[in-house]
Amino acid sequence: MTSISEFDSKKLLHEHGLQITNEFLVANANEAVKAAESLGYPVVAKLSGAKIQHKTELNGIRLNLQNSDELKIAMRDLEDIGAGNNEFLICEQIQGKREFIAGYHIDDVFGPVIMFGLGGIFTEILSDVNFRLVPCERRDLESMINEIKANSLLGPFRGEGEISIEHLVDALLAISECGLANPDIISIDVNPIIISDSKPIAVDALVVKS
Amino acid sequence: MIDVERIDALFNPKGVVVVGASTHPGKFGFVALHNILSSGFDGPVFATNPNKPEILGMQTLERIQDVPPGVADFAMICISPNQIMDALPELAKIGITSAFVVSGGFKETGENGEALEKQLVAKAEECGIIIAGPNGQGLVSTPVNLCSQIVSPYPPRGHISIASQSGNILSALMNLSRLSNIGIARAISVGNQGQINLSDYLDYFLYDSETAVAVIYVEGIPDGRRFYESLKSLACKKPVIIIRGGSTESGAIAAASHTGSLASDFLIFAAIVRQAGAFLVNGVESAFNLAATFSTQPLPKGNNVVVMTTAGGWGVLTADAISGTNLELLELPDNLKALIDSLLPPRWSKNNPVDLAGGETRDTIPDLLSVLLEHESVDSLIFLGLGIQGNVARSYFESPYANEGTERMANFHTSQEQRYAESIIAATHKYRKPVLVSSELSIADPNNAGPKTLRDHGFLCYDSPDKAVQCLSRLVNFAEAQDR
Repeated sequence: MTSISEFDSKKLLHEHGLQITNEFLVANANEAVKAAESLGYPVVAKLSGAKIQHKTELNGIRLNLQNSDELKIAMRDLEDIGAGNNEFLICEQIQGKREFIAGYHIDDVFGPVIMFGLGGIFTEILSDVNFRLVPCERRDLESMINEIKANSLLGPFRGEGEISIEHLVDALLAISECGLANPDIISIDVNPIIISDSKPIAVDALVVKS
Repeated sequence: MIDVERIDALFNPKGVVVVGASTHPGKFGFVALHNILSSGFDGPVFATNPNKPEILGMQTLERIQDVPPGVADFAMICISPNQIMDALPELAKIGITSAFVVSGGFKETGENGEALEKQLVAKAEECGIIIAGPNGQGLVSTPVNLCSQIVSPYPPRGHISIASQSGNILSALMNLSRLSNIGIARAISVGNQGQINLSDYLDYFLYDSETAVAVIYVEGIPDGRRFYESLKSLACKKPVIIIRGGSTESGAIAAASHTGSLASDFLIFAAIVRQAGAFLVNGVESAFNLAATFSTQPLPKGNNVVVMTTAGGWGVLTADAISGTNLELLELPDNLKALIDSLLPPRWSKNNPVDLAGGETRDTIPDLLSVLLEHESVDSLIFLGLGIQGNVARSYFESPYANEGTERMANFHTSQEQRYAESIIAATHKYRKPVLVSSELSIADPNNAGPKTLRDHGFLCYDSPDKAVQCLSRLVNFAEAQDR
């Protein structure tokens, strides 16, 4: 069982049509600043590399960095935490109040399934997730999305517009197609998916191969 | 995957042989024969016993080859596992094409049993016999009056079919069928599913014209995809109700991902049932109520429901139960209100629930039912308060103060209850719209003329309105899926 790095996981999913954050892999603070200038502030800096699987637990994510000074401080922290790791990810900061989780998994009994549900820090506690066997039709994915308990989040929310179900279905199809097209993939986590301007953007992803 | 026509041989046999009939009323071989004879099976019945005793007035035969060939095609097998192997070729010779193996001692007992079961299936295949079970309680097929099981009960004839991984759950569903007088078509305790599995029975229920609704009790599923495909094909055409036993909350052990750890057995199963268009319920009673609803009610054209009540509080609770479902408590159109005004005194609720507020006279209820159901904006109706007059009748009948006056009134109440129930059934048929009746008196006093008349006509009376609302909600779900 091997995990693919966040950068490579997102790249692979993007090839199947998933909308992901604009981002660059960098080796040091200078490269990070260049990347941030090309992306535009604010940015996010993260520990990267195949060995780094639990960025959050490592405290390896710095959000909402507004300028090069903040970015440099963040990079210094991450270099310390990474202890010798010289791969970092600089991503655009996605603004959005709603977070979802999506995934792909091979169930022992039913085979490949796609998952969609409520993201954020209470994901495991609320377990507000739903599944469909894949491959399936767009209609199945639409009902899968609408059946979550927190489905009122799909409508207008705190100044943000209604979520484009069409784009959400596209995102789930991309994840499902990525999994089905690569038989060695045993699971995919896309967590979180943040809704920005009514559309879903994959902010982090993890692909696991057998 | 097994040809449905071969499975049909189990449920529509020409003639039956009980292999291993017993003289002892405590043994399977006696009960099976007794049930087949007493249910009045349509075709000839034979029984074998090496000692040739007479059982239940019937002369048993010493050996299988003594059964005239070509007369029976189904065998109910009640002999020990090692005897079955030798019996199968003999059964094939007399023309048996299908059998139910009651006997245990197979897969359920461990590795040796599993090997024996494989041999059994291979032998059956070799002999051209299809086998249900082993280790099951039997089957019921009311269209041919066949009760080939080692337990009770024999349910009334109807259009609900059941395949169950538990014999007890099967019996429980059939007990509810007897209680409610809403009948069964085919019912099978699938046993170890050595040769025919649940998915095969789903395929058969799709093919079988006697089956209008299917109920499945599932514990484990070996081939999930196949089950899903069969379930989906059936659920597109006929309502399928699923009870799941042994659901666990635990996710995949040592899951490699969030998705894996969230993917609990129960959540996945519930999702595939929805995806297939079937209904997952959480118990035997809900399963039976829903199956009975589908087998007796027409499908509604939309989700607008009217609640008609002679009982105020029940009306309020019903309205509460409706909110939060896919049902819409119809806002009464003005022309409908005007029609109701013409039938009721001014104190009626002027709203939905249509609360009669005690304003009914002799013909109000049948007349109002027609007016409501005839209106184009009404898709379905929930009727509350059946049995209230019958309850008074009971008090009068049982009263220490009974006199000619109370008796006359009690008889009037009783006949009114009967009329109400009959008018409900007639209106359902006439207007082709669902009418669901709820009254706690259906269990509090089963002899109350209102609920009793419904039951005598094979029409369900729910014991609480939230149950009626749940069932109606799913009728709407199914109707909508049919329209897509």
